[in-house]
Formats: sequence, C-alpha cells, structure tokens
Amino acid sequence: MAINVNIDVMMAKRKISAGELADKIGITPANLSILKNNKAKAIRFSTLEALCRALDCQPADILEYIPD
Amino acid sequence: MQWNKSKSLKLSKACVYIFTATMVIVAVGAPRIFALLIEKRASYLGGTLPYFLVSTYTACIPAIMALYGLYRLLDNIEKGDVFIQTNVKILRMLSWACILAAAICLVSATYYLPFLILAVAAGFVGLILRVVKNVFAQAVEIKNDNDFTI
Repeated sequence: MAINVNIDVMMAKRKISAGELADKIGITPANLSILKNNKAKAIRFSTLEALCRALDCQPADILEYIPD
Repeated sequence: MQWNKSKSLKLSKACVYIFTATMVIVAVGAPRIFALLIEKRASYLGGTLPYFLVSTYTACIPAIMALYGLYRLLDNIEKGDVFIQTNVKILRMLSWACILAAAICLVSATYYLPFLILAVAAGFVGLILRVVKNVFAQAVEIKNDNDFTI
C-alpha cells in the first residue's frame, strides 16, 4: 500500500506502550495492531485526531506516502 | 409467542429437513408414484415411466446440492458468519443447482409439457439467487473495508 503508517516510530519517540496508546485513543489493542502493521484499509478522522492528540504530533508524522 | 431471529433460523432449518425427507420419500417411492399416476390419471403417458424416473433421479442431484447448500448457509448464519466469502460460494452453488434443475426440467418437457413451467420457475429462482450472490459479494467487500477501517 502506498500509505505507510509510522505509529511505532512516534510511539518510541513518546515512550508509550501499545496498550496505553490504545487505551488513550479509545480503540482496541487488536485494531491498533492492524493500524501499526499497515493492514488497515482506512483511518477515521476521529481516530487520527485522537492519535495526534495522544502522541502530540501532526498527521504527517504518522502517515507517509510512498510512491509505488 | 415471541418471534425472534433464532426461532426463524430454526424454522428455516426445519424446512430444510422437511424438504430433505420429502426428497428421500419421493426418490424411494418414485417408481410406484409415477406408475400409479400414469395408470390412474394419465393413461396417454403410457410407456413414459422410465423417462419420469430418469428425470426424477437426475433432478435429485441439484436438489441434494441445494439442500446441502441451504443447510451450510443457515449453519453459517447461526454462527454469526453472514457476510463471508464461503456464503457467496454457497449462493453461487445454489444458483447453479437451480439452473441445472431448470435444464433437467426443460429436457423433460419434451415428453411431458408441464415440466416447462417448472423449468421456467427454477430458471427464474436461479437468476434471483445469482443477483443475491452478486449483492452478497459486494456486501462481503464492504464489510471487509469496514472491518479494516480503524
């Protein structure tokens, strides 16, 4: 997929665990894992907003476009 | 009595069992049933008994296919697996079973014309099932997209 999700990089920078982040943004650890492993087909604005708030970052810090 | 999804599924499954039992009874009793029918009601069909039997036993193949497919479909729905690829495959099989039954009836109409009505009915049901299968395939795709939207 051309869009890469770099949550783990931001999580490492913010020193936050997956369980803690899932709890903060209100999604299940299983769904966070889907997002982290680039298996997700789409991301809701509400989830993105919660992620940016929890990780104190911009969408561009999490999402990266890689041309095919 | 409060009607609910579980009871509706049980009724559908019971109907599948009833149809299976009916099919077995018809298959076992076909020689007697048709012989009696020709003798009492339609003597002008004398000599066509073997054709009726061939039609009946050949039509048992799509009937078994359809009953087995329906049973599996209801089983999957009971388990909560509704919009899955397996159900699309089952619906495709059901559709083909109907079309096969329609073909058998169409051939059988050459010696007994009323079979033509059955052929048209089975063909139409097959067509409806095909459209339902297409809708189901689309629904499976939408569900997959939805499941992977975080």
